[in-house]
Amino acid sequence: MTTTVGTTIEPELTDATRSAGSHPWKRFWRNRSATVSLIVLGIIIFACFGTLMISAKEYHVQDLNANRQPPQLIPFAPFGYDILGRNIFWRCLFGGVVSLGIGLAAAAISVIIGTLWGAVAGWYGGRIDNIMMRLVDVLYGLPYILLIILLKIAFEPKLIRLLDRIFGPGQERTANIVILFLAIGGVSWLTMARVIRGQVLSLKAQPFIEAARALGLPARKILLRHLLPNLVGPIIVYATLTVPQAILQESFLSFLGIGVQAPVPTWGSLAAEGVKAINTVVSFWWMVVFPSVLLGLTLLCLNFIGDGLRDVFDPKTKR
Amino acid sequence: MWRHIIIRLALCPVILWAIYTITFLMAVTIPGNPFKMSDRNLSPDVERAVMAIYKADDNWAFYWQYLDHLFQPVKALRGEGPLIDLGPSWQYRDWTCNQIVAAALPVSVGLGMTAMFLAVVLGVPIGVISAVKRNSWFDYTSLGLALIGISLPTFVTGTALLILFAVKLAWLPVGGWGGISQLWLPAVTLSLPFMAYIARLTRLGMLDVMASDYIRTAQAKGLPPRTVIWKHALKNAFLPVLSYLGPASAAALTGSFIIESIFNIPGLGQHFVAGVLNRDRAMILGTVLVYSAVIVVFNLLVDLTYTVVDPRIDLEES
Repeated sequence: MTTTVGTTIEPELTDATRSAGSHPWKRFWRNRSATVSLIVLGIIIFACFGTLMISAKEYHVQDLNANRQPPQLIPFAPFGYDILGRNIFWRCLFGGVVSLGIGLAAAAISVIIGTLWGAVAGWYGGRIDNIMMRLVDVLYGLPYILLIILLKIAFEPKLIRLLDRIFGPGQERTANIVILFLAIGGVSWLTMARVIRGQVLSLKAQPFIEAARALGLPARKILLRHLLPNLVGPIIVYATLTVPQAILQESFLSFLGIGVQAPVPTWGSLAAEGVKAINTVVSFWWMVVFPSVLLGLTLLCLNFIGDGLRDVFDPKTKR
Repeated sequence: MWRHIIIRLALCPVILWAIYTITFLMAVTIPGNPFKMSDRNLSPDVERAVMAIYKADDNWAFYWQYLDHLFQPVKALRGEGPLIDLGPSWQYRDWTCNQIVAAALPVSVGLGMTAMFLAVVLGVPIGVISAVKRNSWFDYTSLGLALIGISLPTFVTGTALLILFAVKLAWLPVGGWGGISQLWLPAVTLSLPFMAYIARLTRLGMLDVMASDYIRTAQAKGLPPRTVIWKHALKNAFLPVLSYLGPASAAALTGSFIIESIFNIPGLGQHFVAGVLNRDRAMILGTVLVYSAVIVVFNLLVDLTYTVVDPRIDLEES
């Protein structure tokens, strides 16, 4: 409402008449919290990935003389040291890479499975739809944290064996992270499948799809050329909202001691370590606060960006 | 309506059976079992005999026997055993899963329900006031707090509350279970993310509803604003919250084991985690089935309440 320039130049584009394709990004940039979030998140991502060369070497270096030292600039440890005398600053930066990686991988998995599942169920309808969506209902009935734990514990040894056979022995750490991707991604596609199915159902009834069918286009072409572009919006929105969920779920696993394996940090495992180091006599606040702030800030930004994107792609929602 | 309820009720056992099978298939994949991990160094013959008693040597025999023993209305009527039998625990040989669940489930349910109650009782009014006083300091403050509630893991918020209220101020006990005073901190911690989400849902719903014609009519005919907002508008704005309550209650119940671990509460969550880590198949199946049963029933209840709150919704069609 405050920026009236756009409305005076294009008076016909009110909220009600604006279609999904016309200047959607203007709506995003006008959303101040989403824009700020994007910048903050950009800085965090840049800091984490930009320093990867250094942090990958430094994150597990122990200096037992420095254990539990508070934040200091000389030697360079602005976030202090943990119980084993490791520099929390580098651990946070490296942990950010792992956390964001888990979030992105889970989102990617949920996009692939969820979109395919929902699109196929919605497109074919009838009995196929019924069976596929009942399965989603059943999986919804399973408590997802339990499902993640079960998936991880059950398939981790198998994956280690598989990776050992392909890449040679010593693949525990890779297998550990990959199984986390898979387990968290494997439970987060359910919402995506439901949303996409609903979207496909409503699109299917629209004239342009009917026209494409009447022209005799094969189903594959209709799905790829006509349905998929219209699904991009919800896919992006829910993928953005899956990332923080996945990061949060990893932190719960870390807290329970079944997350990423020991020397490799994530923001969640760092915060969990910090929480466990707290006692009533001395609080080593820096062990909790820095990873928690990074984790919370990132999740906050992702949620804001997701909301902003929803406004972009779904012009009907009023704020 | 009644036909729908009956169909839904009849589907519940089918859903639970599917969940049982999925969980079983995953539990079988976990390598090792507590009989082999025993530090008592049993002779192979004894080990084999013990495993045979628990049907740990034959996966499918276990599958069918567990399913067969699970629900026994006839036995229960004759007073020969429990209605639902979750079998003996593989790890704690002197206990049945029924005994373990019976001790732990009320704790988890009590904690989860208190948290959901707090989330609704505080979240809905916060959302309504935020919507009515849109863009005020209250709106921004509550939005900020809500986002903190969503964005931080509960073990961080829980520890922060613990340090503030139990250690520094010493108003409440640090942990444990039994009294009302011990319930406050864990319940509030658990409710925070749900409260935040409910407040935001209510706010969005209210903003939508307040712009509609029937609200303008209500205002035009001179009803006091309080009646319009809390009676007319909230009734419709509450619908999205209602549909969120099903999954949320389930999540509150199952997500509580982080909280249980922080505050030393003897709930069901620890038994599931311990069950997985101990490869205690009976315990895994038992806890998952109990959790799932609660979730399935909750989803059903929410669907049914929907028709009561909004008679226009016809479950038969959807």
